[in-house]
Amino acid sequence: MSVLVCENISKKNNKIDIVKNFSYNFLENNIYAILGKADSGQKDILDLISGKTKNTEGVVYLDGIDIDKQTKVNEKICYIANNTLFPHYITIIAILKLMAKFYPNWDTYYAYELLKHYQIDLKSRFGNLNEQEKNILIGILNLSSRAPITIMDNPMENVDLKARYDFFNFLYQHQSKYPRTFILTTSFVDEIDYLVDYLLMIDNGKLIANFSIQEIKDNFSYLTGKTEVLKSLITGVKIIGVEERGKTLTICIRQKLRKDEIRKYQKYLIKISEVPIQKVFIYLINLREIKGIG
Amino acid sequence: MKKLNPLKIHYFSYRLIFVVYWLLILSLYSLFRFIIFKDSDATLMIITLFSFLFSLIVGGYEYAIISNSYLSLKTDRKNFFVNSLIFSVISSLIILFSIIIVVIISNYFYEENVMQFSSIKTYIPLVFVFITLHFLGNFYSLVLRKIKFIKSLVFLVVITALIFKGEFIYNTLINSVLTILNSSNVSLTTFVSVLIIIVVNSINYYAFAVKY
Repeated sequence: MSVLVCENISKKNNKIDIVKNFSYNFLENNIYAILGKADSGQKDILDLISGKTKNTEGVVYLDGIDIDKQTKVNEKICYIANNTLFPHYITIIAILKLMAKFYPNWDTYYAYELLKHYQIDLKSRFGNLNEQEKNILIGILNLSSRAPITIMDNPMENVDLKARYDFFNFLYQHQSKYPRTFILTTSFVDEIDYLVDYLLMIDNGKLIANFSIQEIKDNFSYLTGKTEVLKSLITGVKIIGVEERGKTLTICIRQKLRKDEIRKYQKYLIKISEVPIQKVFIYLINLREIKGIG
Repeated sequence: MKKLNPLKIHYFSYRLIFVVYWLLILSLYSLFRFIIFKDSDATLMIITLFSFLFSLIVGGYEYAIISNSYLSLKTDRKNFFVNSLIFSVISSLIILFSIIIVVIISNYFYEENVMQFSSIKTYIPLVFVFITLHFLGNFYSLVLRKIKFIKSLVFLVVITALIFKGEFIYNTLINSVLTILNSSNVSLTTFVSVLIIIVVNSINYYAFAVKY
């Protein structure tokens, strides 16, 4: 079991702030998803917390010891990025042998099982795999490492829906069997909301919000109804997003609805529904852009 | 033994490359010895030159591809750097033994004595030159490659040098290889190699393990 504590970490590249004062505690046996725009510095945060790059300011503590001085980083953290380049002619079986050398908890049998499921031949060479197979292989390596903290950068990004669904199911089952911490960036957060415990939203290298999945489900709601009717009902309500399609208005509110409020909306045929997590993120980013915060 | 784990990645990554290299020098030797030059000394020079180039390429490949693969699995840069130094020696020895084997095969069939290639005095500077070139390859990947337009610049410099000073470069190359193969200046070659190794490696260490 391992705990990762980030204290005000910042990273500058050519005098440009890539990550700004990022502070967060990644506790054991939880799954964290990091959401952000493409250039928001999510990958840089992953590089910093895994010790792959050095931070300009701040400290990352792994089990209470500064990650730069921690001698067991490689046993405790596994982070194989999507853009990992193995030599073209190296075989899958050789990669598995390397993993077994590097990670003390490495689960060869599980890796074989997943490769068999995805019909990836053990004897095939890394360079001969297509994009989807490479993505799946990286996912399998991360998962089978069974490292106490496993970090994944957009896992299954270029993979079809079915393969992705299967992979996250495997991840869920494996995490239940061998509890450990996962930190992943993702563009498919709504597909994996059953899996994720906490969500971190990043914009321009800054942590702008963090919620548990339950908090999002409890505190954000969609109200959908006829534009005139809904507009007359929403005075004093904290609105973070509005979408108008024809005569139908949908608003996203940020507050927990009381029973009397629910009854009031139902009386006027206003539909109350859950807001997809991605939409919450988009609305929050939009609000920041409107307010000129960046 | 855990400290030597990165060598495992070298083993898996380079084994095929070295087999290909060995087949290539064997083919080159046969081609030049029996068809083009029909002279063993000149042929030996060609495969030595080819091996110099190979050592340089392997050195470049080390920090262009292998280090990335390693860092994807582990983050211990210093450990990789040390293992890379060990590998450079192993690689140079393999290259040297490959040449020796080719020469032995040739001697066995044709009862030739190719230059002074049976002398240990030849092997020492040769290994040092292979190691130096390996480190220069490392230096290219770690430092020079990051400079904008470096590939075009290197290409231009090489082409210009070949056009205007082609003969001089050819003669210098041949003379240098001859000096090494004839063991005529062992201590100077070794001294210059060691000097380059120290300077280049200090820069490489700084670029890879300190400032990244």
